[in-house]
Amino acid sequence: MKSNLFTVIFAIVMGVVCSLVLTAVAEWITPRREANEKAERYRNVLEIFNIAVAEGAANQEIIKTFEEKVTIVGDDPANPDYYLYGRLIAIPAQGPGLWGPIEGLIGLARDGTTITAVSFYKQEETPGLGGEIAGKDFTDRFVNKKLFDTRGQPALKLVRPGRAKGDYEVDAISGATMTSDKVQALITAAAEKFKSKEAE
Amino acid sequence: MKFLLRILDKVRPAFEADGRFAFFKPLFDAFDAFCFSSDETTKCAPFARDSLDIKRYMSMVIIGLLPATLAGLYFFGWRILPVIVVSYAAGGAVEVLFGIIRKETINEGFLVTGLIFPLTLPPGIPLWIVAVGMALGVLLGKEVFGGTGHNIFNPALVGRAIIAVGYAKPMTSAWIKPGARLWGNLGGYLTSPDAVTIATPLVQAKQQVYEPIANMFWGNVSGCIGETCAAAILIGGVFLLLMRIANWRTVVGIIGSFVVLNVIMRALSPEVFAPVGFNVLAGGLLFGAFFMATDPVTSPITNPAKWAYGIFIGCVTLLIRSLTVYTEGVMFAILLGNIFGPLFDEVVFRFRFRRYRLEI
Amino acid sequence: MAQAPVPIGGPTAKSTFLAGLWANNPIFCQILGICSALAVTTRLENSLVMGVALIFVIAMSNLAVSILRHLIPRRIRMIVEVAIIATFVIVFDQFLKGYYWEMSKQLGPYVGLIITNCIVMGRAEAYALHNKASLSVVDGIANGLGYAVILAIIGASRELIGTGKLLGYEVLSGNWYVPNHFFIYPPGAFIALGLLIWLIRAIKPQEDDSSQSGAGS
Repeated sequence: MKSNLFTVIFAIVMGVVCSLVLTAVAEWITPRREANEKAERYRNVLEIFNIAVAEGAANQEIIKTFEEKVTIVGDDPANPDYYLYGRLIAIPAQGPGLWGPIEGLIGLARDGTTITAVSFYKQEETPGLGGEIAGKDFTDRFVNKKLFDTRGQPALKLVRPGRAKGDYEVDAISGATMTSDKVQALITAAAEKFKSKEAE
Repeated sequence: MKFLLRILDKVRPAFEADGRFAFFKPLFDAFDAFCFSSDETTKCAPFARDSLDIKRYMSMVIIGLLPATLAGLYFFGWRILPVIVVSYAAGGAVEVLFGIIRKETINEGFLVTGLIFPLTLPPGIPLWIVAVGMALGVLLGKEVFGGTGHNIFNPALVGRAIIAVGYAKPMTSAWIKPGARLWGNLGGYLTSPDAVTIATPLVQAKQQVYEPIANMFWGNVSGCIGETCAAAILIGGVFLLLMRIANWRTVVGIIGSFVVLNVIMRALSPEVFAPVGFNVLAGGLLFGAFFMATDPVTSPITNPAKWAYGIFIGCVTLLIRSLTVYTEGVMFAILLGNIFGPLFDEVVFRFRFRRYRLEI
Repeated sequence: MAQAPVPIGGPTAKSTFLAGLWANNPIFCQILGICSALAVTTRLENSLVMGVALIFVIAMSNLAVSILRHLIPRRIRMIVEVAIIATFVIVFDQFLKGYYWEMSKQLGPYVGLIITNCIVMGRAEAYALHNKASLSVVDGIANGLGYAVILAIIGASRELIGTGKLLGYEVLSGNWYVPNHFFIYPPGAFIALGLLIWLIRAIKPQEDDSSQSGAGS
């Protein structure tokens, strides 16, 4: 049995060594990690604006392209109200899904209502049913639809598959009513938030 | 028949221990036992739970299932015949494989599983999904536990659960519009699955559109092959109750608790819970209560436990049906009931034998 | 803790290696490390990275514990082991966050949870405390590899059946293969792991059932 003093000293030395190692690692990694997070967010926005980014593009490249072309509107750069590229607009849309949070972006044309692109880059919906919202088949259905009606109210509706008519209706995913309802809710919420911020 | 018996007796030596085809003995025995009464007695459960032997037991269940099968045939057409044949072929293949590996005789249990399983599927289901579901059901629901009598879960429901989750799309959309004419869909095998599809009453009920009760009772609605015609299920089910094959406590427990809970919940929130009459006849509640929950292997043994098991299944069915994304909850409710069944038995044993323990 | 038969004259590098990989494999013999084996195996790529993480952590923590084995006071040895393991796990986690961002997002909390993986602690307690450093590293690598191989098999089968792909490349063509999503759900993991253990135990001669240790996280 070793002495109490030795035990205490050993514990202190172990603690110091471990924390030194962890501090060093954190110092080394943190800038890279933050760049990763930023680049990921920027890449999603660039894709909505249809600005080409190479598949394996480095973080700096993405951040540089983004900062050259896109303006962030809003007080908190990590959680902006919307993005501007020339007069094209991208609105962040987020909300609860069926199983987990859904995050996406809605791209609008110069008129501020015609949709150019939609993406849901984060979702955990049922694979094969609600999970299809991330697929191109679904997101393409939004293109050239209108987010707001002539009075400026959010008007886009997801309707039962095969029934979509006109500028304000999009076919929902068949067999995924619950997910479609959540998507509808988060699009309307994003549109309302955008209107209120734009008015400021 | 005599002719067949003579042939079987003649080739029997080839299948005995040192014969040329000893390898296929299980297959031979199965065929033999299916055609003629076996000269052997059952060696494994569920013999202790009923005075019937397993073969008579299984043939009674098949007779009980006939009305529902015929109703399915009438409403959805000849297409359900290949569905049943594929189910038997796939289940039988797995059964024979394990019979050969384990050198055991093949049990008649799969004759029931092989018929119940297709009756729980949408009529327009692709045949290969039927095969995958039945094979996985027999493998994972029965063989991994050691074969008939050892399984915890109803094999047909295990297979159905796997394909319901795995192939969610066809399992929730391959509905066929039931035939409304006098001869139903009997003339129309060639109705291709995606020709006339129609939402089931339970799907419509989520939008608070309720099918008329009469249609629900006679079965002229969309749904799984064997579950739509309440009248046929009741005929077969009451037959099983009278023959004492299905235990009335389980059946009454399920339907009774379902009705009671539904009445209470509908009074509290009518927009979420459907009307009682509709709900009892819709979906697979009756089919599950009479034919699946009463399976002797996977349901509890003691009478109080059978009550608890039935009430558990009835309540869980209603909650899943009304409060979750799933439109139907019978399948999951019975599987959960299978898990809790032994626990209910255990509680009953504890109470009954407490006296004896205290004396020791 | 179950131990493989130790050859006379103490363990050699070869016997240690084979024990970890097969005879006393952490997953199918000791049923340890099941949580992560179930959670991350939705795709082969995740399983491989998780396997590499575990090999790294066990080898390094075994090495450290073995070097310090005469110094560590008995009374606080568990705490010391946990501190060492936690340090290496965080190093690996940070490394992924810095250099393999996508992968780190996919694995989520499971890399951090290696700290609670019984295999790591178990090897430190059962092996590294009693054997010299070089052998301890071999033991760590072998056990990590035993875990990684099982994870890779489960990951490959779940990804293949559940999505028709392997490492993200389409293997079974979508023209005729309909993926069974059941296998990328959690219950699919239980069934895949259960079937694999069933199969291996059917092949592997059973020595003594009483030596099987209980389940762990």
